[in-house]
Amino acid sequence: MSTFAPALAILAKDVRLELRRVESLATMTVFAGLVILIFAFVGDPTPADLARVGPGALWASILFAGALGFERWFAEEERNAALHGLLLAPVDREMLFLGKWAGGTLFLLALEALLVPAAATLYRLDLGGRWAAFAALLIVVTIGYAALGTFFAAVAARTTASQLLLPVLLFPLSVPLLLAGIEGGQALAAGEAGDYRDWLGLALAFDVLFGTVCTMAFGTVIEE
Amino acid sequence: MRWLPRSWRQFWSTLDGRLYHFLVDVRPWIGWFAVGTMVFTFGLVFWWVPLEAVQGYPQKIFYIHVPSAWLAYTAFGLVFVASILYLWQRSRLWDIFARCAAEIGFLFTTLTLVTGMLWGRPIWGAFWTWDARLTTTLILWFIYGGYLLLRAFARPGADIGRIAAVVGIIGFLDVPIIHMSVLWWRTLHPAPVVMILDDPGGGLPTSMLVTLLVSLSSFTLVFVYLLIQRVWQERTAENLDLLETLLDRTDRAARTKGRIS
Repeated sequence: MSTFAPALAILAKDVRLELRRVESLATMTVFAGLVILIFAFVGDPTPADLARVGPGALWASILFAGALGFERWFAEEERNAALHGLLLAPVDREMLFLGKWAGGTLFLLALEALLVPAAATLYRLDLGGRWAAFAALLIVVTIGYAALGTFFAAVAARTTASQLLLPVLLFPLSVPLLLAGIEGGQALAAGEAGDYRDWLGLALAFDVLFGTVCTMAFGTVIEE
Repeated sequence: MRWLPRSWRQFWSTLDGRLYHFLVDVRPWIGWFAVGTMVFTFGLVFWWVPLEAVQGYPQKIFYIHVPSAWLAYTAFGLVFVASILYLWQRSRLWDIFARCAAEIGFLFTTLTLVTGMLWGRPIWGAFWTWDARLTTTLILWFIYGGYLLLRAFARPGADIGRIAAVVGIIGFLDVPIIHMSVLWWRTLHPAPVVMILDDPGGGLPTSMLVTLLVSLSSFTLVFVYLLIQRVWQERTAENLDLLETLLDRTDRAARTKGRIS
């Protein structure tokens, strides 16, 4: 594990920061909850509609809240020129990315732990007891989304409108993950194991490809 | 740009190769040739090629729509290649080229979407359907729109060319995955009639295929013309910037000198 020590150090630092200021994660959760609330107003849904809109509302809220979070978690490094300190440290750029990526994944999963039960209750989502399989899908999709999100937060930080640009860059590229989350979850609810495995596989392939590419390209983006 | 001093031409050496100068010199000819073939194309489309039996006039949009779509994808392929070359060689040419190709690709994607919608209204009965190809093209439009916005919002002093190159590569790598995911999601677009492997061009009558190929050539000429024009403009703008800084510097140096003596 010693090779990953720098990444773990960054992760530990980020976790400590978030735990000392729970407000920011709490605000994100409230924001995501509000997105779920707003979706309940879309098209005056009947109980049957709710179950159809539910997965979309859940993933949209994760997507939106995530975009806010990634921007914030990276902006944290820009304050007091902390990023310069990190860049000066004799540590591979890849390690910096792995640490930030792991942090983003962890925070997003924490948010989802609150969000998924809430959405399931409010939208009467029924997975027929296949919660473990759903958790696996959730984790795989979140890992991929955090990779892209962390990477593009670094990209957007090099502009004068990072809060505006991050979602614009991130959302179109995240479409496969969004579809995997929504469709995979619905296949699970409908008991179509084959379809579920296809979507899970797609999300996994996405994670591997973009996890690798983003890790490799991170150095190119953050260096001055 | 021949009035630039020799040493500065050396500075922009990658943008001053013989090929570049040749292309810049023949640029007006390419432009006029493009206009000519475009007029010819429209002549073919409206007077020569027979009316399609089922769809009637709306089918003629096909001759604009398909070349636009092909060239849009070509442009994004060029962005991808130029981005890799820029990260590898760090020559200004590839940065400028990637940016200009993205702009023109964005333009042609817009054209593809608009002509597709105009066709969809009479044929499908709706301007838009969430079919796999339409959705992929729309996502593509957003990706490269974001790419251009990223460049537009660059923080002063940031090496945005390098960052944009990475985004251009990642964006292009994502396109097949996006297409596959959206394809699994749904599909309605008419199946390809030209690029069928076992029977190239087989799905189309000869007159329609000829018209399509002529149209493709004229659109390609317009594409090439716009690309050279934009690269030349961008390069001229960069050279002007450089000259301005230099003049500023020599001016200031001269004034300081005057004050001392």
